[in-house]
Amino acid sequence: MREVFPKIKKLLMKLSEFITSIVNFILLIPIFIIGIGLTSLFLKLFGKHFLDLKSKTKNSYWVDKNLSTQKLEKYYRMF
Amino acid sequence: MYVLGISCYYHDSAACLLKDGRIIAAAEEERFTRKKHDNSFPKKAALYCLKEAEIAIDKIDYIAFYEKPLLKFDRLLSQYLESFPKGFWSFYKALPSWLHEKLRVPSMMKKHLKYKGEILFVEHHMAHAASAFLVSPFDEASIFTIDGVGEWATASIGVGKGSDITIAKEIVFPNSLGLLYSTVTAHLGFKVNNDEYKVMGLAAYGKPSYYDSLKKLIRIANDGSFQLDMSYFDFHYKMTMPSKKFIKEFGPIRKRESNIEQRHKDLAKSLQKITEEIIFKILNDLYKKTKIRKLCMAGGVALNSVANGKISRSTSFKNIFIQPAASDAGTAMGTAFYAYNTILKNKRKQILEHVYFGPGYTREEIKSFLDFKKINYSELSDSDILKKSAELIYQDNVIGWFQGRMEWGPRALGNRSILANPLNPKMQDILNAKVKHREMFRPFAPVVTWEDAKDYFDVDREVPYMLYVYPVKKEKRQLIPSVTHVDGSGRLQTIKRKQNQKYYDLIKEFERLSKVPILINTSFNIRGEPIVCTPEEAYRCMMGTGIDYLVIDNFLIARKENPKHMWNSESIAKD
Repeated sequence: MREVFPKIKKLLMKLSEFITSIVNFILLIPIFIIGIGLTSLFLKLFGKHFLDLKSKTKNSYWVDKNLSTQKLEKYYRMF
Repeated sequence: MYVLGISCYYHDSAACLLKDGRIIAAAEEERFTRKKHDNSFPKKAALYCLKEAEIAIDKIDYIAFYEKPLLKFDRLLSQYLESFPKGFWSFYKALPSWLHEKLRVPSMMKKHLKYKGEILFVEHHMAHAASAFLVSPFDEASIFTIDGVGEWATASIGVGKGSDITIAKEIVFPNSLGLLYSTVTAHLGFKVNNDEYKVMGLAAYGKPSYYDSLKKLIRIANDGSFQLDMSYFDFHYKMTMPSKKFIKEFGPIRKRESNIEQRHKDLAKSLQKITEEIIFKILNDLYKKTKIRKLCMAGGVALNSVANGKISRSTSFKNIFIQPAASDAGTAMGTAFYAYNTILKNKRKQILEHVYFGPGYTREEIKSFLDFKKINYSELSDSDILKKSAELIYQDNVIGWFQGRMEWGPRALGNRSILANPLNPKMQDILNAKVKHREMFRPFAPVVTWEDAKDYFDVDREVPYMLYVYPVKKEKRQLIPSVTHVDGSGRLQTIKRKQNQKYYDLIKEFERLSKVPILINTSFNIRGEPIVCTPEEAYRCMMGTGIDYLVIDNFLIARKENPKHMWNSESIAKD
């Protein structure tokens, strides 16, 4: 039995992963189309870009940051 | 005050524990889970840190996390919003883990560590900057961090003074030198976030004939800042990195384990040339801005030891400190020090003088393991174990050298090392055949006593963490062929007695026999496995490979005197 149980457990794990992947697929398709797709299309209509993908010649590609020590409260935030 | 630094969920998860501003313990999760570059929550590493300090989790005053998860999620969503309708498969793969774990850091701390206290979130590149500056010997330094990507930043420059760090500027995603390097790594048939160092090693065999072609991919300003032409890349919405246009320009993607052709070597060389050009331009511009000659560096690209070895010749920086665990693992240390020194405004107390912060084992623990497993061994005195080990190495045996506490960072630096004779011109082949099973183009690294280093290498500084490549002196290249790369260079480690007494004394014993104070030092693992952590892993590694002898503390174990273990290293050797 000691040899059989781990194999059954492994099989059940694989089955659960398979079911999870199907459920994720079904749930994520509408989120991707409606959540991401509509937001993307709507905002792009107004000229919004989310990433700077255009290649442009500039004198410098550095972006100013000026990040130094902040108040303690700010470090409790995940953003 | 106890502060625990945590980094995870991208690659090289790690934990680092400080007590009153000094390191008690630090280790990567991969050493415990035995999964190379493990990115899971570093539960085992964190629990090890607590065990080393002999405290329970409720004694921790703060946990410091190495990034701001919501800013990173913002970048991820921006990628999908920009790329829609492309990017579904990447979205499908990434989103569940974000919702389940990555956005729930406090819950994960509670779940894995039963921690309910304060959590501080530090920006990723600030954690990198802190990992170098706050443990450096400098009161004031210019700071340069560069990696694949953090939240949005892929590189940053700034200044450290006292306990404060200011990041003045950054380059943001998708413009990333680290991701360019990874894209070429993928194109050359190597594993991304794992094999970039192989591309660096391969570059020595090539000519920069793709330099002009690569320049089409990246616009470089006079100050070294850069912008990628994203038509050559897919990484912003796909799991793969080079685009069709990239493949059209540089040929088909090399299949893993297939022959490496000259064009692959030339592409690697061209990439290395561009990488160095960018790094040196940025550093020269940074010096113009700060006028501070001391430099601290961190981030995955800071592990490019070939570029590092040229910094003092190519820039104004003469005093350089690079975090030994420069990749994301190092941010666990960085974020802990940033919390203690910068946020909580405590004085700096730690200068990194060694990296032996991992698990160690007492003589009694080792002996009871050997006895329990009925392993044949002999226990020698301190002086005899050095003499015997040096003799065995001089006779071209390969030695597994397991001493003291495990190293922090990706390099074995004398406590979890495989040591061999650098004088034998066939030793590279012997090591590859017996143990490492690695690509033949990859060189082995030398360790040399600091006072003798200048006799053998054109070295201008102590290099205790194997982060710099320097030329081997022309007249010595014939003498130490196994550690001289095809371009006449070596990625050396210098060692002083105060840094690791037993390791140093062993090299000196070897010198007594060979007249050369150098050994081959390579990490104690086989290809595809993390470096060994415990005596049992060391023993299993020896028995499954062609390592001839294992030296654990003062115990000498001969492979041929013990029954062959079931573990077949050939079958598990993989990337």
